[in-house]
Amino acid sequence: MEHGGWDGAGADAAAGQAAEVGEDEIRRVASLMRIDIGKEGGDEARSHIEKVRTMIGYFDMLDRAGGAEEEAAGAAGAGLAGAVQLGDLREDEPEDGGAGAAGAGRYARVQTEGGTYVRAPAMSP
Amino acid sequence: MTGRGGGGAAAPVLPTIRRYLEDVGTGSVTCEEYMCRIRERIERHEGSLHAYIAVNDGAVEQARGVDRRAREGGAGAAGPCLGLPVAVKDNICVSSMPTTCASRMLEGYVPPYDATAAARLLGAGAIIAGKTNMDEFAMGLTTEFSAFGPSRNPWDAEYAPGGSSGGSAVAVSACECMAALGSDTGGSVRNPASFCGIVGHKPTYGLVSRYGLVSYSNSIEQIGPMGRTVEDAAFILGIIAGRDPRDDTTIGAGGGGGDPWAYAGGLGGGIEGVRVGVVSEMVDGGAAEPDVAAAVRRAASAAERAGASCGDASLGMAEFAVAAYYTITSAEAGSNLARYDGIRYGANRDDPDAYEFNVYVRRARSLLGPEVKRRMILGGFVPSAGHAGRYYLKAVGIRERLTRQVDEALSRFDVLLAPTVPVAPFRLGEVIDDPVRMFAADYATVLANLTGKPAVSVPFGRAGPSGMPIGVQVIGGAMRDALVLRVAAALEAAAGPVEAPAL
Repeated sequence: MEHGGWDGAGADAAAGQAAEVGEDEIRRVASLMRIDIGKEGGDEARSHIEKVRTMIGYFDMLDRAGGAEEEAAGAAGAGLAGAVQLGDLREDEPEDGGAGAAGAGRYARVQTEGGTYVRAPAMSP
Repeated sequence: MTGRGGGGAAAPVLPTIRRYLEDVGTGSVTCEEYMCRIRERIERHEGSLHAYIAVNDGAVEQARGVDRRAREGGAGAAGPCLGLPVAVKDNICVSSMPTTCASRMLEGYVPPYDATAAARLLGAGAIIAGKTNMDEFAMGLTTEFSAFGPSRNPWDAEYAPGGSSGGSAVAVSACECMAALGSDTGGSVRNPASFCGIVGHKPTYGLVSRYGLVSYSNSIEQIGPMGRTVEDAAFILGIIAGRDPRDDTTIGAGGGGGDPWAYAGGLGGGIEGVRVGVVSEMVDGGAAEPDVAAAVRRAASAAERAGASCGDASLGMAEFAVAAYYTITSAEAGSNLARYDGIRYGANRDDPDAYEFNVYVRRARSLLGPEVKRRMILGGFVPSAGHAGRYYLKAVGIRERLTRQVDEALSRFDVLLAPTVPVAPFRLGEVIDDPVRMFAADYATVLANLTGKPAVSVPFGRAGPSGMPIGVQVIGGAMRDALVLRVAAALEAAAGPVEAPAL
């Protein structure tokens, strides 16, 4: 039953490791993805956070697979033009309200052309 | 009234595709008569089964057109399918019908073009009977994540039909169509085929065009056929397979490309001398429920009686397959679904107020269901700075090592035999709140997706307590779809007469 078990036997192990990913981190990623997971402390938010943590906890079994050296070589994107090294990945910040540093730059053109707010164009008939 | 898993089996009320073509070709039964029977089934059972999201209201009229063309120009004038009623999963574009992916985000969307697989069916003279229910954006394995409500298993309406192509499986099993298309990212054709007691084939990656399939995980997913028999599924594969200039991942070799009998024609060739490897990690040591493990062992014995040789194959990396699969697919889903912002794609909010851009997108994405939201969050997490090395890149490496291990096993065996799902069908609501149990149900199917191999699920017995169907899975080397279907046909013959739920 190494894969976690069809009866859910792996859930406890998964949940045990899930504590490494905090609620703040999940909320930060949700914000980056522009997903509203509900009010803090609410049932919807609690359900999302609990399940995402469980899922990430399950993914932690990847650590046991070994082959780190081989994967590191792959991570370097050997032979791929324009491959971004792991250490060079950009740190994203949520852009709430478009007022953050990243938001101000990204939406500068929108703001000068149409003010602070944008309207979505009608794309479908 | 739906059949009870405990014994409500009967011969299917619709014939095989071969018989359908004989009937309509000779005029002994018209296409219109078949279509009317199917419409009657749909009207009678849809209230309880909910296989379809949209039904083709012009189907009977189109069937009359097929009969007219066949009368006036001979059977050949109506195409090789002679009006065959085929259901299509609702994430495959058909220009005359809605494509919602079972999501409020795409409610009311009618695509302006046909997916290549659908276009090839239409070009061969098939009629699209309707668009079938599914888990939202194909994320799930019970159809309970459909925004339009779940489908129900025709063997027992209290049970899940599997997913994500659950509606297609229900429509085939309940004789609400002759055959169907599904899409298989982690088992989404084979899992519901197993749960509903039908045949589902996941083709070699690249054998079937993904043009017009709404993207979830591009590097993994494939459109696949579903039928009541192996021959029916193989017939549909022959029509939809082959290179497509609109999808550069398609492969030109391997037959198909419009010949319906390219795969169905050789099924009777037997399996004398075929080497079958039973994947021990998926059968032994409690990896599968006892009834499921016993079904696989019985299938191996049946293969031996048919002239195959069987041995145990070991895939040590398989234990990491599900975690690698969900890591990779989440990352790809996070990217693919980012287009649904209510501006470029997705529902256009008819809202008189203006919103700041990020607020607008968040409001638009509130139309997405809970599982899709979670997969998008995971998709943002696993490839992100600080986590990519531990999750996404590691998963990609495991995928490569797993592929090498499977290739090595397939150098010693011609095909691998495993359960389709390690558990018997479960009840609706039983696993929906337990992500790890849902992951575990994918244990035996994700292998073929991660490695790009063809795999087919064929019914092989029932589970003891519930009487629900059990499927076994045949996995083969890349582009050896004909072989896996031939082995599945031999197992189908050994399993006895094809059954359908007595509705």
